[in-house]
Amino acid sequence: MKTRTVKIYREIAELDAAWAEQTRALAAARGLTVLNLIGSPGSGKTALLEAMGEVGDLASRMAVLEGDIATTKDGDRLQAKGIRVAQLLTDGGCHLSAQLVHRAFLDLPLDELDLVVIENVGNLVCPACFDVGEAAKVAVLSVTEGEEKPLKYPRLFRDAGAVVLSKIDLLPHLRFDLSACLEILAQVGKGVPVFQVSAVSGRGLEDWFDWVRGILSRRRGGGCSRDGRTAR
Amino acid sequence: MHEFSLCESLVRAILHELAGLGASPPRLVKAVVSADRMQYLVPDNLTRAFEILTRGTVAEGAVLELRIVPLIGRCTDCGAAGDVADPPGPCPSCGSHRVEVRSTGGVTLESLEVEADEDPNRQDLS
Repeated sequence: MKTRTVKIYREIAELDAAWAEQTRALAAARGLTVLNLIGSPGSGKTALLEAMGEVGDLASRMAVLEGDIATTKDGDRLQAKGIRVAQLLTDGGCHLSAQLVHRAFLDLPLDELDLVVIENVGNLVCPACFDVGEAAKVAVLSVTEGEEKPLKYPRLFRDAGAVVLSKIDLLPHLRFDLSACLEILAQVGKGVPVFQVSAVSGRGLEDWFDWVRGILSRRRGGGCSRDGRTAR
Repeated sequence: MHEFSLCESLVRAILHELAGLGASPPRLVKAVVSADRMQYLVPDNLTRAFEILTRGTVAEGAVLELRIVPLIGRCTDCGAAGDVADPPGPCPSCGSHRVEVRSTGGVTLESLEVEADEDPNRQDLS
């Protein structure tokens, strides 16, 4: 059989990637900032959002796209705090797809918002690999997970625009090496800002809120890049 | 990971390219695809997905070759660059741990080997 070879050199974009670009374009057109909150199950993502729900200037112009495999429990928690929330259920999917996020995005009252926070499915692996149209990924890492986590899941911590180190009220009860963790984050994350917080005690939250405020004001000034790095 | 959904896009692109090669698309013999290690592709999973998704198409039975290309790291202290692991170790030139890793991109469809048309007037595009 005679054959011939044709050179192609074509980038294969995941089918889902086009949806991410649509969300990004819509957010840009409406002056919206989109954050993608990613962390292990139980890392404290929902608690962080509950805390944001108590802050008037942020909560009044914020909506959450709440992603879970099953149940509306997290969405219910946020709704109880008066936060605008749309619950997304993947029914077994390990990460939110850009298509699902885009559909939910279209249902939001976009004119009333400055900030949309996507709380991704609890998972340090897959959500880190899929763009859903966010301005920045925010990694949520709990001190109960061990200081070496960023080495084990480098992609998320390398790509994140910010890291929230949660549950610091538990430090006295753990053998967590905080300075080692911060050193690892500095190495893997190349200077990513790290916010040590406790949603229970409130410690450290104000610095996190200020970072979000900074992103929002830069967006209003038109200065938020795609990978979130200039959003620091 | 998620080789199946990636393969859906890949097969779609391949069939599109094949359709552009003539009035009737030629049969595919081999497709060469490249990706770096940061794409975390499991070759067997990709091959299996390819077999399933090409059934009943002109790409059925074709070989899928996956080339893993090097990750490029650059030391932000001394500027040395080269192939690195993921995550990178210390810079081999100066020992610094400040080595940035750049993925070469996503997944690239490099080439298609197809059954040749016996028509002597056809131009070979390769």
